[in-house]
Amino acid sequence: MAGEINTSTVLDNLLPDLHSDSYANLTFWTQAQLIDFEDQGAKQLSRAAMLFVERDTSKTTIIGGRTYSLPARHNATVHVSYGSTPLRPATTIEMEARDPAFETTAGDPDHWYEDNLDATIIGLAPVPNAAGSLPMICSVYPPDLATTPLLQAPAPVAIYLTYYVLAKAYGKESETEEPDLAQHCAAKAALMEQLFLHYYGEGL
Amino acid sequence: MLTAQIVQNVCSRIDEQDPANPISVSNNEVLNAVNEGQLFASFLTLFLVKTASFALSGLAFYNPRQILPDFLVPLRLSVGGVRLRPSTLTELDGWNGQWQATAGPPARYATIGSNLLAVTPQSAASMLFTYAASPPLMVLTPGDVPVIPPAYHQSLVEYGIYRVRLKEGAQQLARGLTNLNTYLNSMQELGDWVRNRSKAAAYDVEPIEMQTLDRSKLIDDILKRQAKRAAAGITK
Repeated sequence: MAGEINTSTVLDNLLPDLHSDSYANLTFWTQAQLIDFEDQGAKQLSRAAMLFVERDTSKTTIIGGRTYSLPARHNATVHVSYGSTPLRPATTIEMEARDPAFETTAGDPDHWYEDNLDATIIGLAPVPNAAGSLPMICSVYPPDLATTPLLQAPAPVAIYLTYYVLAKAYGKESETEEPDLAQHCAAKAALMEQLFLHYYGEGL
Repeated sequence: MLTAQIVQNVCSRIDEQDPANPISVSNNEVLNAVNEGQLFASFLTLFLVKTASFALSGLAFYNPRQILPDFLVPLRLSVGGVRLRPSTLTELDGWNGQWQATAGPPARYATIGSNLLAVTPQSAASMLFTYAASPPLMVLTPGDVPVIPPAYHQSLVEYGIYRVRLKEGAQQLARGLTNLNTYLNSMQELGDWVRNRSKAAAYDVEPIEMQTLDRSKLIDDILKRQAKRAAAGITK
Protein backbone atom coordinates (compact mmCIF):
# COMPACT_ATOMS: atom_id res chain seq x y z
CA MET A 1 0.00 0.00 0.00
CA ALA A 2 1.22 3.49 -0.75
CA GLY A 3 2.48 5.82 1.96
CA GLU A 4 3.74 3.11 4.27
CA ILE A 5 6.72 3.18 6.59
CA ASN A 6 8.67 -0.04 6.83
CA THR A 7 9.36 -0.19 10.56
CA SER A 8 11.87 -3.02 10.01
CA THR A 9 13.95 -0.64 7.88
CA VAL A 10 13.73 1.97 10.65
CA LEU A 11 15.34 -0.55 13.01
CA ASP A 12 17.92 -1.64 10.41
CA ASN A 13 19.01 1.99 10.09
CA LEU A 14 19.32 2.21 13.87
CA LEU A 15 21.97 -0.50 14.15
CA PRO A 16 24.96 1.88 13.77
CA ASP A 17 23.47 3.98 16.60
CA LEU A 18 23.61 0.85 18.75
CA HIS A 19 27.24 0.23 17.74
CA SER A 20 26.42 -2.84 15.73
CA ASP A 21 26.34 -3.90 12.10
CA SER A 22 23.74 -6.65 12.51
CA TYR A 23 21.11 -7.86 14.95
CA ALA A 24 23.28 -10.89 15.72
CA ASN A 25 26.08 -8.62 16.88
CA LEU A 26 23.97 -6.56 19.28
CA THR A 27 25.50 -6.92 22.74
CA PHE A 28 23.07 -5.35 25.14
CA TRP A 29 19.79 -5.64 23.30
CA THR A 30 18.01 -8.20 21.17
CA GLN A 31 16.11 -7.67 17.94
CA ALA A 32 12.91 -8.70 19.73
CA GLN A 33 13.50 -6.02 22.38
CA LEU A 34 14.03 -3.36 19.73
CA ILE A 35 10.82 -4.37 17.94
CA ASP A 36 9.04 -4.26 21.29
CA PHE A 37 10.37 -0.74 21.98
CA GLU A 38 9.27 0.34 18.52
CA ASP A 39 5.83 -1.17 19.01
CA GLN A 40 5.48 0.65 22.34
CA GLY A 41 6.47 3.86 20.56
CA ALA A 42 3.87 3.44 17.81
CA LYS A 43 1.14 2.79 20.39
CA GLN A 44 2.27 5.70 22.57
CA LEU A 45 2.15 7.99 19.52
CA SER A 46 -1.35 6.82 18.62
CA ARG A 47 -2.53 7.95 22.07
CA ALA A 48 -0.65 11.25 21.95
CA ALA A 49 -1.86 12.35 18.51
CA MET A 50 -4.55 11.30 16.06
CA LEU A 51 -2.24 9.61 13.58
CA PHE A 52 -4.18 6.47 12.85
CA VAL A 53 -7.83 6.93 12.01
CA GLU A 54 -10.15 4.30 10.61
CA ARG A 55 -13.69 4.51 9.32
CA ASP A 56 -15.37 1.23 10.16
CA THR A 57 -18.42 0.46 8.05
CA SER A 58 -18.83 -3.16 9.06
CA LYS A 59 -21.49 -2.65 11.75
CA THR A 60 -25.23 -2.84 11.17
CA THR A 61 -27.88 -2.12 13.77
CA ILE A 62 -30.41 -4.77 14.71
CA ILE A 63 -33.93 -4.20 15.97
CA GLY A 64 -33.80 -3.83 19.76
CA GLY A 65 -29.97 -3.88 19.83
CA ARG A 66 -28.83 -1.18 22.28
CA THR A 67 -25.06 -1.71 22.19
CA TYR A 68 -22.57 -2.46 19.42
CA SER A 69 -18.91 -3.45 19.46
CA LEU A 70 -16.28 -0.86 18.66
CA PRO A 71 -13.65 -1.55 15.97
CA ALA A 72 -10.55 -3.55 16.88
CA ARG A 73 -7.58 -1.55 18.23
CA HIS A 74 -9.93 1.24 19.30
CA ASN A 75 -8.43 4.23 21.11
CA ALA A 76 -11.22 6.80 20.90
CA THR A 77 -14.51 7.28 19.09
CA VAL A 78 -14.49 10.38 16.91
CA HIS A 79 -17.76 10.26 14.96
CA VAL A 80 -20.73 7.91 14.63
CA SER A 81 -23.50 7.93 12.03
CA TYR A 82 -26.72 6.02 11.59
CA GLY A 83 -26.80 5.50 7.86
CA SER A 84 -25.61 8.89 6.67
CA THR A 85 -27.09 10.85 9.59
CA PRO A 86 -24.56 11.93 12.22
CA LEU A 87 -25.34 10.95 15.80
CA ARG A 88 -24.59 13.31 18.68
CA PRO A 89 -22.25 12.17 21.44
CA ALA A 90 -23.71 12.20 24.94
CA THR A 91 -23.12 10.90 28.44
CA THR A 92 -25.37 8.51 30.34
CA ILE A 93 -26.40 11.34 32.71
CA GLU A 94 -27.50 13.44 29.75
CA MET A 95 -29.40 10.52 28.26
CA GLU A 96 -31.14 9.85 31.58
CA ALA A 97 -32.12 13.51 31.89
CA ARG A 98 -33.54 13.39 28.38
CA ASP A 99 -35.40 10.12 28.81
CA PRO A 100 -35.22 7.96 31.97
CA ALA A 101 -36.13 4.93 29.84
CA PHE A 102 -33.48 5.67 27.18
CA GLU A 103 -32.14 2.12 27.39
CA THR A 104 -35.41 0.70 26.11
CA THR A 105 -37.14 3.48 24.18
CA ALA A 106 -37.20 2.42 20.53
CA GLY A 107 -36.82 4.68 17.51
CA ASP A 108 -34.25 6.06 15.08
CA PRO A 109 -31.02 6.60 17.04
CA ASP A 110 -29.92 10.23 17.40
CA HIS A 111 -27.29 9.92 20.15
CA TRP A 112 -24.38 7.63 21.01
CA TYR A 113 -22.71 7.15 24.38
CA GLU A 114 -19.96 4.95 25.76
CA ASP A 115 -19.52 5.92 29.40
CA ASN A 116 -20.81 3.38 31.92
CA LEU A 117 -20.33 0.70 29.28
CA ASP A 118 -17.65 -1.85 28.68
CA ALA A 119 -14.68 -0.18 26.92
CA THR A 120 -15.27 -2.23 23.78
CA ILE A 121 -18.88 -1.23 23.12
CA ILE A 122 -20.95 1.80 22.26
CA GLY A 123 -24.60 2.48 23.08
CA LEU A 124 -27.28 4.04 20.88
CA ALA A 125 -30.38 5.96 21.93
CA PRO A 126 -33.16 5.58 21.08
CA VAL A 127 -32.65 1.85 20.64
CA PRO A 128 -32.79 1.09 16.89
CA ASN A 129 -36.10 -0.23 15.60
CA ALA A 130 -34.70 -1.06 12.18
CA ALA A 131 -31.56 -2.41 10.56
CA GLY A 132 -29.19 0.28 9.34
CA SER A 133 -25.50 0.83 8.77
CA LEU A 134 -23.50 2.23 11.69
CA PRO A 135 -20.29 3.80 10.32
CA MET A 136 -17.83 4.81 13.03
CA ILE A 137 -14.73 6.96 12.74
CA CYS A 138 -12.26 6.00 15.42
CA SER A 139 -8.74 6.82 16.44
CA VAL A 140 -6.99 3.45 16.65
CA TYR A 141 -3.59 2.11 17.64
CA PRO A 142 -1.48 0.37 15.02
CA PRO A 143 -1.27 -3.41 14.71
CA ASP A 144 1.66 -5.19 16.43
CA LEU A 145 4.79 -4.26 14.51
CA ALA A 146 6.28 -7.72 15.14
CA THR A 147 3.68 -9.23 12.82
CA THR A 148 2.75 -6.17 10.72
CA PRO A 149 5.90 -4.13 10.11
CA LEU A 150 4.34 -1.87 7.47
CA LEU A 151 2.72 1.19 9.00
CA GLN A 152 0.60 3.56 6.95
CA ALA A 153 1.63 6.91 8.40
CA PRO A 154 3.33 10.20 7.51
CA ALA A 155 7.06 9.75 6.86
CA PRO A 156 8.16 11.74 9.98
CA VAL A 157 6.75 8.92 12.14
CA ALA A 158 9.99 7.09 11.28
CA ILE A 159 11.96 9.83 13.09
CA TYR A 160 9.70 9.51 16.13
CA LEU A 161 10.15 5.74 16.26
CA THR A 162 13.92 6.10 15.87
CA TYR A 163 14.26 8.36 18.91
CA TYR A 164 11.71 6.44 20.95
CA VAL A 165 13.69 3.23 20.46
CA LEU A 166 17.04 4.97 21.16
CA ALA A 167 15.61 6.49 24.37
CA LYS A 168 14.46 3.07 25.56
CA ALA A 169 17.66 1.32 24.46
CA TYR A 170 20.06 3.79 26.10
CA GLY A 171 17.80 4.20 29.14
CA LYS A 172 17.83 0.47 29.80
CA GLU A 173 19.87 -0.57 32.81
CA SER A 174 23.04 -2.04 31.38
CA GLU A 175 26.72 -1.26 30.91
CA THR A 176 25.83 0.96 27.98
CA GLU A 177 23.23 2.97 29.86
CA GLU A 178 23.61 6.62 28.78
CA PRO A 179 21.23 8.81 30.82
CA ASP A 180 22.02 12.01 28.88
CA LEU A 181 21.61 10.31 25.53
CA ALA A 182 18.38 8.66 26.70
CA GLN A 183 17.05 11.99 27.98
CA HIS A 184 17.89 13.73 24.74
CA CYS A 185 16.21 11.04 22.64
CA ALA A 186 13.13 11.03 24.88
CA ALA A 187 12.95 14.84 24.58
CA LYS A 188 13.24 14.59 20.80
CA ALA A 189 10.41 12.03 20.71
CA ALA A 190 8.35 14.37 22.93
CA LEU A 191 9.07 17.25 20.54
CA MET A 192 7.88 15.10 17.65
CA GLU A 193 4.70 14.34 19.61
CA GLN A 194 4.08 18.09 19.89
CA LEU A 195 4.40 18.40 16.12
CA PHE A 196 2.01 15.50 15.47
CA LEU A 197 -0.43 17.01 17.95
CA HIS A 198 -0.23 20.39 16.20
CA TYR A 199 -0.87 18.95 12.75
CA TYR A 200 -3.28 16.07 13.47
CA GLY A 201 -4.96 16.75 16.82
CA GLU A 202 -5.20 14.72 20.00
CA GLY A 203 -5.25 10.93 19.89
CA LEU A 204 -7.34 10.38 23.02
CA MET B 1 25.15 21.84 -2.76
CA LEU B 2 25.06 18.27 -4.05
CA THR B 3 23.99 15.50 -1.68
CA ALA B 4 27.39 13.83 -2.03
CA GLN B 5 29.07 17.14 -1.10
CA ILE B 6 26.90 17.46 2.01
CA VAL B 7 27.88 13.94 3.07
CA GLN B 8 31.56 14.73 2.48
CA ASN B 9 31.27 17.98 4.43
CA VAL B 10 29.82 16.09 7.39
CA CYS B 11 32.72 13.61 7.27
CA SER B 12 35.20 16.44 7.01
CA ARG B 13 33.70 18.25 10.01
CA ILE B 14 33.89 15.13 12.22
CA ASP B 15 37.59 15.00 11.48
CA GLU B 16 37.74 12.18 8.97
CA GLN B 17 41.16 12.35 7.28
CA ASP B 18 39.72 11.28 3.94
CA PRO B 19 36.13 12.58 3.86
CA ALA B 20 35.42 10.68 0.64
CA ASN B 21 36.28 7.39 2.36
CA PRO B 22 35.35 7.78 6.02
CA ILE B 23 36.45 5.23 8.61
CA SER B 24 34.50 6.04 11.79
CA VAL B 25 31.18 6.16 9.93
CA SER B 26 29.88 4.79 6.65
CA ASN B 27 28.68 6.98 3.81
CA ASN B 28 25.26 5.36 4.13
CA GLU B 29 25.08 6.22 7.82
CA VAL B 30 25.85 9.86 7.04
CA LEU B 31 23.37 9.85 4.16
CA ASN B 32 20.66 8.48 6.49
CA ALA B 33 21.50 11.24 8.96
CA VAL B 34 21.21 13.93 6.29
CA ASN B 35 17.96 12.43 4.99
CA GLU B 36 16.57 12.52 8.53
CA GLY B 37 17.59 16.18 8.76
CA GLN B 38 15.70 17.06 5.60
CA LEU B 39 12.62 15.05 6.62
CA PHE B 40 12.63 16.70 10.06
CA ALA B 41 12.95 20.11 8.37
CA SER B 42 9.96 19.38 6.14
CA PHE B 43 7.81 18.55 9.18
CA LEU B 44 9.02 21.47 11.28
CA THR B 45 8.54 24.07 8.55
CA LEU B 46 6.27 22.54 5.85
CA PHE B 47 8.68 24.01 3.30
CA LEU B 48 7.90 21.48 0.57
CA VAL B 49 4.61 22.30 -1.15
CA LYS B 50 3.16 20.18 -3.95
CA THR B 51 0.00 20.35 -6.02
CA ALA B 52 -1.49 17.20 -7.50
CA SER B 53 -4.68 16.18 -9.20
CA PHE B 54 -6.90 14.12 -6.88
CA ALA B 55 -9.78 12.19 -8.44
CA LEU B 56 -13.00 12.42 -6.43
CA SER B 57 -15.29 9.50 -7.20
CA GLY B 58 -18.45 10.82 -5.58
CA LEU B 59 -17.73 9.33 -2.14
CA ALA B 60 -17.70 11.26 1.12
CA PHE B 61 -14.49 9.72 2.51
CA TYR B 62 -11.01 9.13 1.07
CA ASN B 63 -7.61 8.04 2.30
CA PRO B 64 -5.34 10.72 0.80
CA ARG B 65 -2.16 8.81 1.66
CA GLN B 66 -3.04 6.04 -0.81
CA ILE B 67 -3.02 8.60 -3.63
CA LEU B 68 -0.40 11.00 -2.26
CA PRO B 69 2.14 8.84 -0.38
CA ASP B 70 4.18 11.88 0.71
CA PHE B 71 1.14 13.74 2.11
CA LEU B 72 1.69 15.58 5.38
CA VAL B 73 -1.10 18.18 5.71
CA PRO B 74 -3.59 19.81 3.30
CA LEU B 75 -2.93 23.41 2.31
CA ARG B 76 -5.51 24.25 -0.33
CA LEU B 77 -8.14 22.13 -2.08
CA SER B 78 -10.16 23.32 -5.05
CA VAL B 79 -12.54 21.90 -7.65
CA GLY B 80 -13.07 23.74 -10.91
CA GLY B 81 -11.21 26.74 -9.53
CA VAL B 82 -13.51 27.00 -6.51
CA ARG B 83 -11.82 26.56 -3.17
CA LEU B 84 -13.13 24.04 -0.64
CA ARG B 85 -13.48 25.43 2.87
CA PRO B 86 -11.70 23.53 5.65
CA SER B 87 -14.05 22.35 8.38
CA THR B 88 -14.30 19.95 11.28
CA LEU B 89 -16.71 17.02 11.43
CA THR B 90 -18.70 18.90 14.09
CA GLU B 91 -19.02 21.88 11.76
CA LEU B 92 -20.14 19.64 8.90
CA ASP B 93 -22.72 17.95 11.17
CA GLY B 94 -24.08 21.36 12.18
CA TRP B 95 -24.03 22.68 8.61
CA ASN B 96 -25.94 19.82 7.01
CA GLY B 97 -27.24 16.72 8.79
CA GLN B 98 -26.98 14.78 5.53
CA TRP B 99 -23.54 16.05 4.49
CA GLN B 100 -22.31 12.47 3.95
CA ALA B 101 -24.95 11.87 1.29
CA THR B 102 -25.55 15.18 -0.44
CA ALA B 103 -24.86 15.32 -4.16
CA GLY B 104 -23.38 18.45 -5.67
CA PRO B 105 -20.13 20.26 -6.36
CA PRO B 106 -17.71 19.85 -3.42
CA ALA B 107 -17.64 22.91 -1.16
CA ARG B 108 -16.15 21.80 2.16
CA TYR B 109 -13.64 19.29 3.44
CA ALA B 110 -12.34 17.97 6.72
CA THR B 111 -9.23 15.96 7.52
CA ILE B 112 -9.42 13.56 10.43
CA GLY B 113 -6.03 12.56 11.77
CA SER B 114 -3.34 11.89 9.19
CA ASN B 115 -5.16 9.59 6.81
CA LEU B 116 -8.85 10.38 6.43
CA LEU B 117 -10.36 13.07 4.24
CA ALA B 118 -14.07 13.93 4.13
CA VAL B 119 -15.54 15.92 1.23
CA THR B 120 -19.05 17.36 0.91
CA PRO B 121 -21.22 17.69 -1.16
CA GLN B 122 -20.18 14.70 -3.24
CA SER B 123 -19.65 14.41 -6.97
CA ALA B 124 -17.14 12.84 -9.32
CA ALA B 125 -14.61 15.54 -10.07
CA SER B 126 -10.92 16.27 -10.41
CA MET B 127 -9.72 18.13 -7.34
CA LEU B 128 -6.54 20.21 -7.21
CA PHE B 129 -4.86 19.16 -3.99
CA THR B 130 -2.12 21.44 -2.67
CA TYR B 131 -0.36 19.90 0.30
CA ALA B 132 2.77 19.96 2.40
CA ALA B 133 4.87 16.96 1.42
CA SER B 134 7.67 14.94 2.90
CA PRO B 135 10.82 15.07 0.74
CA PRO B 136 12.06 12.20 -1.42
CA LEU B 137 15.07 10.32 -0.05
CA MET B 138 18.38 11.75 -1.20
CA VAL B 139 20.87 9.39 -2.80
CA LEU B 140 24.61 9.47 -3.39
CA THR B 141 24.36 9.29 -7.17
CA PRO B 142 26.01 12.20 -9.01
CA GLY B 143 23.78 15.21 -9.53
CA ASP B 144 21.37 14.52 -6.65
CA VAL B 145 20.50 17.64 -4.67
CA PRO B 146 18.32 18.18 -1.59
CA VAL B 147 14.89 19.75 -2.13
CA ILE B 148 15.28 22.08 0.85
CA PRO B 149 16.12 25.63 -0.34
CA PRO B 150 19.87 25.97 -1.10
CA ALA B 151 20.30 28.58 1.65
CA TYR B 152 19.61 25.77 4.13
CA HIS B 153 21.84 23.05 2.67
CA GLN B 154 24.43 23.94 5.31
CA SER B 155 21.80 23.15 7.95
CA LEU B 156 21.77 19.56 6.70
CA VAL B 157 25.52 19.43 7.34
CA GLU B 158 24.92 20.65 10.90
CA TYR B 159 22.19 18.05 11.43
CA GLY B 160 24.35 15.30 9.93
CA ILE B 161 27.18 16.09 12.35
CA TYR B 162 24.80 16.06 15.31
CA ARG B 163 23.23 12.81 14.18
CA VAL B 164 26.40 10.80 13.64
CA ARG B 165 27.88 12.05 16.93
CA LEU B 166 24.72 11.23 18.88
CA LYS B 167 25.52 7.57 19.51
CA GLU B 168 28.87 8.37 21.16
CA GLY B 169 27.16 10.07 24.10
CA ALA B 170 29.04 12.21 26.65
CA GLN B 171 31.21 14.96 25.12
CA GLN B 172 30.48 13.93 21.54
CA LEU B 173 26.78 14.23 22.28
CA ALA B 174 27.37 17.67 23.82
CA ARG B 175 29.26 18.79 20.73
CA GLY B 176 26.55 17.42 18.49
CA LEU B 177 23.88 19.29 20.45
CA THR B 178 25.48 22.61 19.56
CA ASN B 179 25.15 21.57 15.89
CA LEU B 180 21.51 20.64 16.53
CA ASN B 181 20.93 24.07 18.10
CA THR B 182 22.38 25.74 15.00
CA TYR B 183 20.14 23.58 12.80
CA LEU B 184 17.03 24.41 14.85
CA ASN B 185 17.82 28.15 14.71
CA SER B 186 17.97 27.92 10.92
CA MET B 187 14.72 25.94 10.82
CA GLN B 188 13.05 28.58 12.98
CA GLU B 189 14.06 31.14 10.37
CA LEU B 190 12.85 28.94 7.50
CA GLY B 191 9.63 28.17 9.39
CA ASP B 192 8.94 31.89 9.89
CA TRP B 193 9.46 32.48 6.17
CA VAL B 194 7.14 29.59 5.26
CA ARG B 195 4.51 30.83 7.74
CA ASN B 196 4.52 34.30 6.17
CA ARG B 197 4.23 32.74 2.72
CA SER B 198 1.39 30.49 3.97
CA LYS B 199 -0.46 33.50 5.37
CA ALA B 200 -0.10 35.34 2.08
CA ALA B 201 -1.44 32.30 0.22
CA ALA B 202 -4.14 31.79 2.89
CA TYR B 203 -3.20 28.13 3.24
CA ASP B 204 -5.36 26.03 5.55
CA VAL B 205 -2.50 24.81 7.78
CA GLU B 206 0.56 26.72 8.95
CA PRO B 207 3.79 25.29 10.32
CA ILE B 208 4.20 25.16 14.07
CA GLU B 209 5.66 28.24 15.73
CA MET B 210 9.04 26.91 16.77
CA GLN B 211 9.39 29.52 19.52
CA THR B 212 6.78 27.45 21.38
CA LEU B 213 8.98 24.34 21.34
CA ASP B 214 10.94 23.91 24.55
CA ARG B 215 14.58 23.01 23.88
CA SER B 216 15.63 22.82 27.54
CA LYS B 217 15.33 19.05 27.99
CA LEU B 218 16.46 18.45 24.42
CA ILE B 219 19.64 20.48 24.61
CA ASP B 220 20.19 22.96 27.46
CA ASP B 221 19.94 20.62 30.49
CA ILE B 222 22.32 18.12 28.91
CA LEU B 223 24.87 20.78 27.95
CA LYS B 224 24.80 22.17 31.50
CA ARG B 225 25.37 18.73 33.01
CA GLN B 226 28.17 18.00 30.57
CA ALA B 227 29.82 21.34 31.40
CA LYS B 228 29.66 20.55 35.13
CA ARG B 229 31.22 17.13 34.52
CA ALA B 230 33.93 18.61 32.37
CA ALA B 231 34.70 21.16 35.09
CA ALA B 232 34.96 18.32 37.61
CA GLY B 233 37.26 16.38 35.26
CA ILE B 234 34.74 13.61 34.57
CA THR B 235 34.92 12.52 30.94
CA LYS B 236 31.77 10.37 30.92
